[in-house]
Amino acid sequence: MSEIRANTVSDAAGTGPATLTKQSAAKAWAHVEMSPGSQSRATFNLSSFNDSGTGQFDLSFISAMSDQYYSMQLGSNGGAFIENISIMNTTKVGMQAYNYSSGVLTDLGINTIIIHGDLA
Amino acid sequence: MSTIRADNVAPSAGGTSTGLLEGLAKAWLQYLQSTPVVSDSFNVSSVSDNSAGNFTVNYSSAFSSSEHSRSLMANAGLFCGVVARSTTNTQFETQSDTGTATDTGNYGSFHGDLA
Repeated sequence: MSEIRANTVSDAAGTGPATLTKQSAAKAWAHVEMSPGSQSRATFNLSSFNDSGTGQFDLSFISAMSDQYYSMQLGSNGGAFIENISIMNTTKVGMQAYNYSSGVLTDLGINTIIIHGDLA
Repeated sequence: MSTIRADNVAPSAGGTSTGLLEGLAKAWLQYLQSTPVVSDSFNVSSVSDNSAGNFTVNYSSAFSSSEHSRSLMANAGLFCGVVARSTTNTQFETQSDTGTATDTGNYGSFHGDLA
């Protein structure tokens, strides 16, 4: 089995992402804690965590996406909550978590985001 | 265009390598069924709009197994589940909490081995 060891892989010009054949790397992900306190625990290509209110937050891309038509999946703990995409553009993403029966926005301990698509 | 062929990529000092075959998404899409339109995608040849909330994602390059990983997010507080699966496509349905199949925005990523 062949292996390449490098710290950085880029396109031939060294200024953009490399193209992978028949596979696509995630362009961003985040693990955010909204309870008991609010903070981003771990991120990739996302920064400037903003607690925008109970059960909702947003993050900004470090490297922007090419358009707003990327794929984003959200996850949370709690079992009785629904995750909703509140912001989805080339520079920012936002998530809400609310109780599916009452509709009440709720701070949860685990909130996760993963994004696939094309960088600008 | 230059091409490097390898099975794994690892840090230059050694350490944990990333399997290029298994660790990377083999497909993803954003599908707005209310239009319907595939806003953007990777390794998706088409999406069949079967009925309200029910659609089939057809891959350009097939997976080696029907049991690959599918992660789908439905917007607007709806739930999404897998209806049928194969190596060449996956059928999904999005429903409200009352079980009503409903068109909405859908965001999916797929992991596994290609055929």
